[in-house]
Amino acid sequence: MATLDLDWEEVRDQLRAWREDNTRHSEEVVDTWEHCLKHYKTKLGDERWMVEEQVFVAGLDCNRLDIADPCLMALNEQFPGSLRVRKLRAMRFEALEKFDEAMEVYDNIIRQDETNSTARKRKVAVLRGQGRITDAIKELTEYLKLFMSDSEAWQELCDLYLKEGDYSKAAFCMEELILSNPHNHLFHTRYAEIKYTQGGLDNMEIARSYFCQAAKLNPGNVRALYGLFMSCTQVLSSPKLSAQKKKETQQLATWALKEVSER
Amino acid sequence: MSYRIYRAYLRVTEQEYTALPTDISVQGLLSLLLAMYGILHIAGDFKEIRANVQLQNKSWETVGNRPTFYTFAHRGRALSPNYVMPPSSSPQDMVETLPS
Repeated sequence: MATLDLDWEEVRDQLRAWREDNTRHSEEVVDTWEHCLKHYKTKLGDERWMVEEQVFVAGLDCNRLDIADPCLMALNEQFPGSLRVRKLRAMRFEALEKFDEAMEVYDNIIRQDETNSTARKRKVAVLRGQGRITDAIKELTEYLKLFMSDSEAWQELCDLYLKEGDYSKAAFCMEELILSNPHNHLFHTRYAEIKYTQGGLDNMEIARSYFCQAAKLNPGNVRALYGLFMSCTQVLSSPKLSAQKKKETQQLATWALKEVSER
Repeated sequence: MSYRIYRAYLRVTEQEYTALPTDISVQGLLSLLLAMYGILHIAGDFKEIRANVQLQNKSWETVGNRPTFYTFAHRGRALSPNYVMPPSSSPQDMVETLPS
């Protein structure tokens, strides 16, 4: 890739968009940094440190320590005693699989600052990286007792329970998320999918209603429409259903299938 | 400010207060219009009121991304040029290195 092909301002704007959008584009970040933005570090101004942090995490993600280490050194020079930079150093230990050292650093950070939520969350990530899912769940539930409204943590807890196969607790986590973000069709879809996986007539009916809600919030969500069709057919196949409900469900299923074929 | 000065002036000269003089009201109106114009240009684009419209085009990848919980122990590591295959212990793994 040619060095001067990309306009460094465009790259900077793209990185900023990815930062704000909260998406994971680690390979692209590393590539554009290496081939373009690295040479214009000094022109970035105040934004430079946020970009360095973003590139550092992307470098760790792609196992490119040759990219990540200079960023960490630059950040350390600029912010000598900072807890945030210490957290980044601990993340580097995690990437090198030195989990015990990483845990030590996080414990130090927490001892120094009791309110630091990111260090606690990283401890959960360390346990997850080691594959100790049950310990990670325990640590995360402790964290949620202190910081109840952290929706990212609830999402992570839901994911961990799904890994364990504990669908009822995962459904509870999704319920918390729906409570805090009732307009988000993706949460409704996921909750309905968990209920569908659990099976049984009651769960099927709940799944059907949540798929309906997701389709209402976003008519373009094909996953919700298809889920609606599947849950309707499942409900129809159950023996104990009144005739009127059967007719309604059948109509719903045909409508959902028509919508899916139109998209 | 100029309104206060005007009223003080009227009180001093014992004139009746009927209405604001034209220049002060014109001044006020012009500054309002100028402020509105300036704010509209600085504030940026309007955002849609309905909360669910923003989410229409977002996938689970974006919304479900949790940057504070990133783990680095995934298969993407193997794609980097720095990747070193871990030393294997079983004879099956040696099959790949057989010359054929």
